[in-house]
Amino acid sequence: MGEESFGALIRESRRRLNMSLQEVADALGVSPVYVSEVERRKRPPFTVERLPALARVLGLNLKELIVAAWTEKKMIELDPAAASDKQMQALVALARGGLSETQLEEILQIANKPQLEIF
Amino acid sequence: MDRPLTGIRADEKHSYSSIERLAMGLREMLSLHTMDRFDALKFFDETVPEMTIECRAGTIHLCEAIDDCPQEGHTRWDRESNLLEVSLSGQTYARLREGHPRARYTVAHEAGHACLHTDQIIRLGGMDVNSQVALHRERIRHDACQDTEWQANAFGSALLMPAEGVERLFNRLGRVSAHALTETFAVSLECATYRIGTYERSLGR
Repeated sequence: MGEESFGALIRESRRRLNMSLQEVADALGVSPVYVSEVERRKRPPFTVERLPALARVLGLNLKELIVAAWTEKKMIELDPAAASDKQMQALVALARGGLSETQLEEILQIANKPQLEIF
Repeated sequence: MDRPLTGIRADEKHSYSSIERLAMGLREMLSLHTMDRFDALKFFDETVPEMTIECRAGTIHLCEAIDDCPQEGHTRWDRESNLLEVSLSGQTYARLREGHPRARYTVAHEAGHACLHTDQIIRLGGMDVNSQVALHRERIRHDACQDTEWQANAFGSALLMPAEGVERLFNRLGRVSAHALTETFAVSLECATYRIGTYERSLGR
């Protein structure tokens, strides 16, 4: 994906599929104004809840899309209400740099198992 | 029909007939025959994103945009992406999808700005907001044929209602009525009336 912005990524993907702004908006349940403004970086990338539908309609890899959105926002989104205490503790530890490389490697190995594929 | 000038002074003067020729060039590019209606929605959704314009600044790519803006449409250059954005308001785009004549005209009018004023739009896009406002307030005296809005209006109406098509209707009916134009080219009565005026002037009638 390189240095390409989130907006440029979805615009190029949309154009490659010859889709209109309206068609993408319909798939996401948002207005075409919103899609157009995200594409042109006048609004921040879509929230993570909208990304699975966006990945489906544009045939993009969801993981890459989420990373592109977070990279541009310079933040990782998490809904605390939807996360368990353990998940929150693990994330706080991660945010504070409290996990060693070995521990991170173990977590990634678990997360990347096909049956637990989080993306 | 004389209208007050609302634009700024364009880089180049244009006559009705020179604008006709440019609009015909775009119609040919779109493979439109004389009596074909200009499909403004298809043009906006499909053609604009694929279009490029050669200008002094080089090859400029166009981009369709829908904005939460008060005006029906506008064309601007985005410095960051180096794209010429042909932009409609959300309401105009919704009306365009319903085939509303006014929305169709807005697209044709903005196509005029994109084709006729590319370098000027890029230059304006490179200015800060205060300089742009000052330029619009300055209102240097100029003729209608050098007014950016007049030129875009003339282009838009020629794109929607080509002179040859108007001529054909004239030959068929013995006169050109605004009603015949609205029926044939799906334009508003106001737009058709304006077109009859420009058509007659281009013929020196």
